[in-house]
Amino acid sequence: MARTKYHSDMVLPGMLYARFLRSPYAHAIIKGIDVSRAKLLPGVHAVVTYEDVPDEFITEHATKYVIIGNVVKIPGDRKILDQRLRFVGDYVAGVAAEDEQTAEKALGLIEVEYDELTPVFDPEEALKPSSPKLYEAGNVFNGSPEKPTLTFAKGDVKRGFEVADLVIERKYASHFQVAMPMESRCCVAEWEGDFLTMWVTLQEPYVARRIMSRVFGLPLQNVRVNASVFGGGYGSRALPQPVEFMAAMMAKMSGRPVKARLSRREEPISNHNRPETITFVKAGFKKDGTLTALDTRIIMNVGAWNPTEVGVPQHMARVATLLYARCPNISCQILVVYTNLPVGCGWRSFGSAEAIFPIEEMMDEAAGKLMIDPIELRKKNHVRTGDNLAPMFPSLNMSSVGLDTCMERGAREIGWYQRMKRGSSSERDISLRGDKAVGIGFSMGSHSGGIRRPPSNAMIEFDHQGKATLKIGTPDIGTEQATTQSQLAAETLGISVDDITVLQADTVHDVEDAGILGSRSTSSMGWATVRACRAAKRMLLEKASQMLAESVDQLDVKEGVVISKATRRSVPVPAVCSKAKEEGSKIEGRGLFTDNCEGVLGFAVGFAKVEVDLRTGKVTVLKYVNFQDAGKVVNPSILEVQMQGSVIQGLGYALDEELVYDRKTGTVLNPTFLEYHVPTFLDIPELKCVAIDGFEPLGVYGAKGAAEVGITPVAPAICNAVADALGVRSYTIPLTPRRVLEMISQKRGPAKGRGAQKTKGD
Amino acid sequence: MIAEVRETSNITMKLNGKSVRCDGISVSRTLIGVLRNEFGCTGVKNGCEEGTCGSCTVLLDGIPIYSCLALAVNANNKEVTTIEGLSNGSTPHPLQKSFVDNYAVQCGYCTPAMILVSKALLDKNPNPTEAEIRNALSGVICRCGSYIKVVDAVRSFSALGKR
Repeated sequence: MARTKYHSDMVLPGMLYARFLRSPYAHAIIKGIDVSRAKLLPGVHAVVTYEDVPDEFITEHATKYVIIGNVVKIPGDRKILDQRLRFVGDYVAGVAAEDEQTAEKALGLIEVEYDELTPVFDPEEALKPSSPKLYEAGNVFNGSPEKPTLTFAKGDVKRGFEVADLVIERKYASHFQVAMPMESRCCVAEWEGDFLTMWVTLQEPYVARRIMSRVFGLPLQNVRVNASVFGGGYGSRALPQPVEFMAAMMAKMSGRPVKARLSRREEPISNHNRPETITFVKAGFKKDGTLTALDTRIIMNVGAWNPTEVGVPQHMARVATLLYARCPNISCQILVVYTNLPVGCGWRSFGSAEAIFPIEEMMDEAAGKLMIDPIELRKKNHVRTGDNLAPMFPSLNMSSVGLDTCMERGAREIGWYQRMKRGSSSERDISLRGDKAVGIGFSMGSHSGGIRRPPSNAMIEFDHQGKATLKIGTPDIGTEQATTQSQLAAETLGISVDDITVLQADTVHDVEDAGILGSRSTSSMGWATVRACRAAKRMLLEKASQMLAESVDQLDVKEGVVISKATRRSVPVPAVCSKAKEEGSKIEGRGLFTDNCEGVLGFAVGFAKVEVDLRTGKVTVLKYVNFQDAGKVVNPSILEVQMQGSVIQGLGYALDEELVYDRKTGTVLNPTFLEYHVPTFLDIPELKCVAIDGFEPLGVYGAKGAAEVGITPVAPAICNAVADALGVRSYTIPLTPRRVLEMISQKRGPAKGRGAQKTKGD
Repeated sequence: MIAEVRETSNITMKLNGKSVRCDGISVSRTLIGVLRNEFGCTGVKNGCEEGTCGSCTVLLDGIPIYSCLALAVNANNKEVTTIEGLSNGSTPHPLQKSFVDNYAVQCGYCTPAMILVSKALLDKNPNPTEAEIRNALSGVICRCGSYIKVVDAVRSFSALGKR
């Protein structure tokens, strides 16, 4: 029996297995549903439909949220189950039976009458007045086609364009990227009287607990959510979906534990995918490269409902407006648009990768037209340490920006200046002779560095033998937070990491935490850990001070021993803990981090060297270099792994990964690893990932979040490299061979009387 | 999902070095199902159940196969090795230790498969090149992106000269 217990390995006595009936239509209403025959099948113990579940929203806030200090009423959208179905695969019913075979058979016995409605898949279509509407309030989340979901503005972009020497206006498109974690979504639900326990593959167990308690009308202490270890998430499994609630409901109905493990084919429609985006960027430059105005309008196709509410759009807005915050005139509008597709609200960088790609492609194109080195153009305009970010994000701190160092070192590593010697792509005459074309491109990137609300709590307690247990809310999804947090604890306490056990992501520990996402674990969770350890250390020193009859301010802890700076007398930590126990107390501490600010940004710069096969359109990345500013790095080996992982997922986003669906019916056509190509061993380029020496003043020991930002420059760096190779640019990702062949034929000019093709965006 | 066929069979095999037997197994059951449910080998992971990801890899007579595509009856009178067969009680196999020491494990879900395929490769070819390692392991997908570290782990184990 393998020792790590994933939820999909869990077996409880009397456990039932759930399967789900899903909508075959992208947009429909359940006119009638008859589950009687399913219920009668031997082995079936519960069947659940919209008629059996609480009529409650499952989104986190559903009533209010705070956007930059303003409390805003957020409309709820997703109910547990609804008569109205909004994507192919939407939940119609669930069955819990003795085994999966029986549950599957029972699904076939459920009779449903559907009233088909017209679906809409294209977000630009969904904005038209004639479009079918998914919700009564329309197809824009918290807004309308005329009133974007989020708007940020500084200065006057109209005026900024008037004074520009060069104005470029382009339209970009990116597609849904599926997270595809190796362990498919799985939960187990068990009731004991009025007490509900859920084992879930979710990144925010305390948030899940809060929603479950609201939805089922239970006091918070009657719900326990355990998410301690599961097989990947990357942000796509932040929040509960109907699956968890249906499993809980069927466990209640049957009186037995219920396990709901989804199949691989259900995965792309059961977590949240990275959204499809259509972005309009208009940028104005002076001849010397100074940015005079930057206007971004992002249409985010969120699919059938919007789990992260304004979370992802806010990340998009941050990078779209802050990377070039020195520009006096900036405007950014984000429209979160509903369509009849599986949910696409984001993962790994939660919007930042989607927003960076158009802007950094634009900058590269502008550099070519202005005949300025792309790196110099960025240096002229990018945000710097200490910059004031009012009025858009006044409480976001630009306290450490390592972009220049990252750019300079990355440029040397990839051989950037050899590229410049042969002239940039717009100057060179690229005639695309032969079979291959090579190019180099780069991009800046940015994402949240954490150190921001919402809250983290941590608790550390010593047993009488001096061994410490650290309780944190962060799940283990592969980022080794147990190691990082125990390092922070050991450093703060003055003891060895070997004397610290970390317990994670079980709400029974009562250390409320916002979860593992937004690159906040080292930085925000870390602060809670440090504060808890400082509190415990104070207790330790006070007790030692009594034992040694010395003043507390003379004492410190070094290598597990409390030692007096003055007299060098000492007492080992275990002896202090043992004394505390004798006296009926315990050495412990709690820490809270909930600083009410927007936090800080982390930065990454990516350089890509690519080879394009002119016959097949295949783009091979020969070398990719990722330099990151992560502040002071707590664990270089763990960070290197995260950097590599981010870049590899970025390669997929740039080149191969795209959710393909039938444009008439909305059915997903590539739900398994066979048709949906994630990078394999054979797709990895020569890869160098480096975190530069930095220091974030607000960070715990100088650290800031860094496990996601590496993905943000990958797609634009590769697009820019391909543009360098071919002399023509794609405004759409992924750069599949088909799209690249179209670019090549466009570059080679009209053939056989087809007529000249317009450059996109002109 | 395919309904189980009524015809059953008894399966005798060597599992992780021990002779085991399982009676009355439907001939349509997959090897992964029997290994996980009847023999409790939860280290054999369900990634896709249709042979597209490699998480379910086990060694059948020393050769890596996708256990989700093999019928349980295919293992009759054969030797099956799962990840549980590598460690000695609670002492990890040096190859497992190399994976941990080289940070080649993130969420851990593909790790049993990675280790087993690596072992099969190293048993045949104790000093593989990087290209040979990548090729041999190309049938296992890691979404966390541990590929480079896995290659490091295999090379570092191979450099130790251990078998």
